[in-house]
Amino acid sequence: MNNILNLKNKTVLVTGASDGVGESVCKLISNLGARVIMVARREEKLRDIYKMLDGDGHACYSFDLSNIDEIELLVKKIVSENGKLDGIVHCAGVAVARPLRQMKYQVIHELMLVNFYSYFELVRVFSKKCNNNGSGSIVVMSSVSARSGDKAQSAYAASKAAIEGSVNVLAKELADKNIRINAITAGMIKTRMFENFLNRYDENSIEQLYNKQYLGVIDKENIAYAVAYLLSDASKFITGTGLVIDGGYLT
Amino acid sequence: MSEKEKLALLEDMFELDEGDLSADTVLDELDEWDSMSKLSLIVLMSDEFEKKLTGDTIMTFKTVGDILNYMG
Repeated sequence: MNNILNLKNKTVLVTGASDGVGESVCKLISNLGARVIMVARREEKLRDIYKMLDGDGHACYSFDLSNIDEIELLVKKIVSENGKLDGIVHCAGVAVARPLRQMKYQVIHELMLVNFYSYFELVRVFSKKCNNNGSGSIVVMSSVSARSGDKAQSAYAASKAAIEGSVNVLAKELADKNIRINAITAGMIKTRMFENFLNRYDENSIEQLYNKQYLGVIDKENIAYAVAYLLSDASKFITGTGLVIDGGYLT
Repeated sequence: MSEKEKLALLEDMFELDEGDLSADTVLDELDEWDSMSKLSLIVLMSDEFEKKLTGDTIMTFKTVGDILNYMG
């Protein structure tokens, strides 16, 4: 039987590629045959992961996604150097834990730049005929916080809710272009964000997390599997949704 | 920053009145010393003192004076 998650001949742009889920996605989809275009801020880390990818034709671009106005130029450069794209995986994101009384507009704005505006701009640019191969799949990382966030996560939750709200509308707008778009609504994953959580909160909060997410903290690879599925033709009837991978958190 | 100014920052953070806190105030005796105020303290240290406070260090704080000392 053929591998149903075959990504051969697909060129996929991955943001947040130097760390966490993005890193796992790059490794997995390269193994499944994709050409991976890695985008992240830290060039050195990008180069390290680049060397670990399977197959040929990958590329990496050091770029700060909070420079929204330069995203279109970046994609143009990527397409001119690597050919048109078949997919985007937006893993770049920042988390901020701030109680309401210490929230500042500037903090929300900086978080939205990376978590939401950059994703939206990438989708807009990718959807142009000149940048995609006449079809495509977009996967964006969301969070259970979009639906049931904890105290002090209001800005982060809002950014993820903005993503999920946009996904089901954009799915309809992009259907005529044969482009699907989906979010992954993830629970707590074993990444740097989780380590920060452990450093920041007391034992009581950590115990509460384990009670809610009773299947345990999610391995990055298990998110990457879902990303590969959503990128592949195996999921061709799935669009406009948030695929929940939450270890039971929302139940 | 003077000790008075630092105390004022903490009183504001805890939503207490001026003069409610002193260096001798025992944190565990404050109703306001909960998980949200500990998180607020992390944010305050980052915003005002550019210090990265961790949960482990917070557990060593017994009095308001310990926090003032950490502020430096």
